[in-house]
Amino acid sequence: MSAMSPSERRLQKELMSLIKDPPPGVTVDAEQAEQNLLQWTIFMEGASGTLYEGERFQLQFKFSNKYPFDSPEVTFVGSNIPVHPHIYSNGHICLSILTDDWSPALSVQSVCLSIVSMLSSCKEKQRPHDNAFYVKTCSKNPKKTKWWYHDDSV
Amino acid sequence: MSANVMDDELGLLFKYPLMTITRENRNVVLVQGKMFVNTKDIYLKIAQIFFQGQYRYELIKMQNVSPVLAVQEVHAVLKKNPPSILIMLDQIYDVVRTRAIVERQLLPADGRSDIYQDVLHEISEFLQFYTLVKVQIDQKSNLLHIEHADVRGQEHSVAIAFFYSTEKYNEILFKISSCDLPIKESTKSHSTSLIELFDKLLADIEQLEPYIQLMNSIDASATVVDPIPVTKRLPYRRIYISDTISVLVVINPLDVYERPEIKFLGPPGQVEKHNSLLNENLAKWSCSKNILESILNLIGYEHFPAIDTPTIQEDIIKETRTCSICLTEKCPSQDVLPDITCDKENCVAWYHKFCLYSYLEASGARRVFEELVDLCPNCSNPISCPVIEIY
Repeated sequence: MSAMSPSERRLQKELMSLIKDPPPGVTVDAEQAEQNLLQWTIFMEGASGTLYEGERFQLQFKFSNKYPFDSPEVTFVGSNIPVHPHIYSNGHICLSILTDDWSPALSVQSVCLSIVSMLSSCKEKQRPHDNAFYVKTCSKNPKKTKWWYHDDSV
Repeated sequence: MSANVMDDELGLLFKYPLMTITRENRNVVLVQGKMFVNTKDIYLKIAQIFFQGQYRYELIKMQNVSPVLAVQEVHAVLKKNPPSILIMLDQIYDVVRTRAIVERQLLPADGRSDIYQDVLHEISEFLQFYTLVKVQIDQKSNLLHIEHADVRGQEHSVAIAFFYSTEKYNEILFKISSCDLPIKESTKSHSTSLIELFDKLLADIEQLEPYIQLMNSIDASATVVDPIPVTKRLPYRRIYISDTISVLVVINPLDVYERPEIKFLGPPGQVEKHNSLLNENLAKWSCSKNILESILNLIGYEHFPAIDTPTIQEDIIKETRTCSICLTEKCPSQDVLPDITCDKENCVAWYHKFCLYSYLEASGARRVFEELVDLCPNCSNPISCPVIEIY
């Protein structure tokens, strides 16, 4: 195999640990990720006892070659986008660690955990109040959005 | 055009191996070095200068040529603008040789440019006789590095020095200067024929075959304390027995079936115990059996003890010392363990200097004297990293 770049090496390492020891309810499409380390699909199950119990979601992670210095681009994809005050109907997620608060010490695993806990702490299923406007005007890449973070409680 | 250049380069290498051609700038090419004429090295330095689509040659320096007349002769050659550097050197060579300007005299045995031609000739003949793994000529120290694979596919390396004889004119001598096997003293004496010398060496290697095998099996099964790194050139092994005791086994390379010399090293009390056991076993020495087994019987072990490594402890260190940025202990670009943490005591993150610096630099961290200062990627407490050169 040809020499891997530092970002690919790190992604390979993360992929291995995610396959071996995934957080509860999270599975990674290992085959696809192995073929292209820069784009992963991750399946997430709504935790039992929460509003999303029994639901299955699909997350897409896109990495640049600057990863982990640069945050991954994370969106919900597929037919079932969770209805949540911080998740737009086009799959974009309003989560500070995905942009401003990203740090190279974070990982795919910690992002998954954050999203799981964000879903789990939700008290009422509803779209963000600016959903219709945002979905019409936003860029395809959620990282280009200047997020105006909502409260931290949800 | 390109074919000409190639011919020129090859011709130069063969005829004037110590002449070098360097391009100084767009307009100037320097030709300099030694030329062997009439048993003597002369030194030349000539510039080829391009000017307005034309080139001309200029003599910068010429040494070891007398009388001064020669300089004028050479100038005359250069005035005629020879069509190539090789032809120019050929013409200078002719002038210097035919006019007998160089004083005919015997030179000191070294420093002659034609030694490489003679050696190359000898080597090309030599190569027709053997298939070798690798041959390399070291011009600086006049050494020939050879790697040879024996019948079992074991590779051995040998360095052969070549030099002119001080007694007989124009005779090259070859001598083994180093070898990774304990070869005989007689093989180490110099020889006029590389082939002859190598034949002797091969005979030695063949005779050493049982020794090579024994050493391989010892090195594979025992924890060798000395020599490190293990080399078959040295016919002894000091082998780990316990943290305080080791055993020195000296083998006769030419007769491995001879009982090896065995000596226990360590605190007197323990050595005494091992020695008495050894004395009992000495009588049982038999050369018919597997040698390695016989040696083990002699020192009273079924197999060589392995060093107890505190594996669990090592794991703890490894786990805590993974760089939080590249997630490895040693990243390929830097062969060091992570060595930077932030000021906060209970933060578990460690970083490689290289990884942290790359991140802080990319994120536009503040530079304070020779350090970049920012927040720890893990706990957001202050962290600093020395400025390093990244290439």
